Amino acid sequence: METDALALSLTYQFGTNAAFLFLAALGLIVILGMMNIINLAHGELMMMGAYVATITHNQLGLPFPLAVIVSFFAVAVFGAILELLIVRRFYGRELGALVVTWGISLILGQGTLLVFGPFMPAIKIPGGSYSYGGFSYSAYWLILIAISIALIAGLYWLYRYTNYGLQARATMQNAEMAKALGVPTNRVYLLTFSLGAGLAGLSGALLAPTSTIAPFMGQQFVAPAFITVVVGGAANVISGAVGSSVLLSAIKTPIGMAYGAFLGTVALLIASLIIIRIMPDGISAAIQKLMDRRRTRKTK
Amino acid sequence: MTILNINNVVAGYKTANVLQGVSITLSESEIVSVVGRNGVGKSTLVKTIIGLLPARSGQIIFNEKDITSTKANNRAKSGIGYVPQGRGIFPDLTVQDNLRMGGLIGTKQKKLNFDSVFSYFPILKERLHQRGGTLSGGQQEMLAIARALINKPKLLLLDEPSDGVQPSIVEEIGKFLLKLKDTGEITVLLVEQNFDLLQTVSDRAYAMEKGTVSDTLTKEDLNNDETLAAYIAV
Ligand SMILES: Nc1ncnc2c1ncn2[C@@H]1O[C@H](COP(=O)(O)OP(=O)(O)OP(=O)(O)O)[C@@H](O)[C@H]1O
Ligand SMILES: [Mg+2]
Repeated sequence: METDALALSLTYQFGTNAAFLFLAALGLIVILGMMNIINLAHGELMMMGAYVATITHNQLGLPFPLAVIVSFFAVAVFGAILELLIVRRFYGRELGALVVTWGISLILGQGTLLVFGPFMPAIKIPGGSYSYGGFSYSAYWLILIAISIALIAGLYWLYRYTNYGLQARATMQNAEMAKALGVPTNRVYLLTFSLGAGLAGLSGALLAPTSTIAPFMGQQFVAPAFITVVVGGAANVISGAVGSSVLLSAIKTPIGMAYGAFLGTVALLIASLIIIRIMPDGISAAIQKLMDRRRTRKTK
Repeated sequence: MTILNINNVVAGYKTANVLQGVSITLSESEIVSVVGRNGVGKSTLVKTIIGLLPARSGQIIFNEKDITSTKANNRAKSGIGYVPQGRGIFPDLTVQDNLRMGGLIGTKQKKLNFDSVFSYFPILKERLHQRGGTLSGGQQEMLAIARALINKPKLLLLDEPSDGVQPSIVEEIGKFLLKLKDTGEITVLLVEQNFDLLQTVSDRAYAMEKGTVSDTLTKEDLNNDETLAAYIAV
């Protein structure tokens, strides 16, 4: 009985940790993973999503789910404007893109501080909590786990089955060839960056009720986001992000439960270093190699 | 009828112009080759025709339309298929998705005619779910050709298809080009250095030197190994 309760709680913690990593990385999966832009404004885009959700929900009285959707579109539009005015000048210049997105992050953080002050009233966590065998479970985190799974499925569908997804993957691999096959590559870059920004806004809004709403709240997501995307690798960004959030959570959760959250995070960092050392191209490249071997064998 | 007319085109890279006023003309359902030593500007010419490099002066007329300032993606849509030197396969896309990319060119979203390209290159059907990057050089070349062909272009630009490809597949590509010619539906501009392939398929050829067309070769000129060697060998 007691081990049942412990196992259930461990599973729940594992799920929340994995969902947190995945949600933190969500926008970066597209912008760093696919477009190879080191987007240091990732945290601020998430912050923006959180602010849009807070304002539309707390002040305009929009139902929270609607506020989340509004955040997605608001930050996606903002991302499109950024791409058109600034980011597109820095494609293929990794360091340039790094510096310019850092600048954007400073402007967004300080600008928010100026306009809205150091704090915003928090969003109340929707849903209650359950308790079982001495452990408690938040309904909202269960919903976030479910939403993460839905987002994974949605992204997989988008990039695997739609024409946009095919053209985007091809453009990221060889833009010149894609152009020669009729793809309007400028539009693909614009859409992809805007989608990545929108997804950062969406997860910022989703995580808003679990966090303090403040101008520099985005910082807490940046490190886990980069770790998740880099450990996942670029061979297939979606399977990579899923693989790395699951694997990292599987390491962090038991250690965190036994020795406390701090050591759990230390274990996560050490594990990432080891994984990157063994698989320099990330988990998705390792998966890809495995699949290649299976498919080649089948046809021989 | 003339399908492609390049008139006194100047083009090149940021650093310098490579093409110094090139003029060539292709008629419907011909296979015309371009020969010349390494670095004379053959690939530059092909890239200028598909629009990856802008023509700095001169004119490009395709299918009776002036496309000199049309963007590459729209030139592809108007019916030019491009197979670059080095093949330009998308390595992380499956063979099927590489072919789908070729099929997306048309605005019309009809069902793709995979079978038409499998009849030329049956091996691709077996490899449909493998990643492009796992194919051999020759198979990648066939995939690149199939990808360009699947949308039925009027003009096919082939840049050194024999480059890095085993002899048996070069032969296969030669047979394919002859079959394609028999359909009478497509014009081919072939950049090539492989004697056998040139002699098997070309109707005639342009010889290039230092960014200009230095000579035109008839089928008889091409079939004479010594004449041909003078234009290609160093
Ligand atoms: N991206 C580039 N930027 C600057 N110069 C280039 C570029 N690509 C090619 N060149 C130069 O342009 C000239 C023509 O190159 P091009 O590739 O057209 O030659 P080619 O005739 O196709 O040669 P090969 O037979 O080796 O394929 C060469 O001097 C080459 O160094
Ligand atoms: Mg060349």
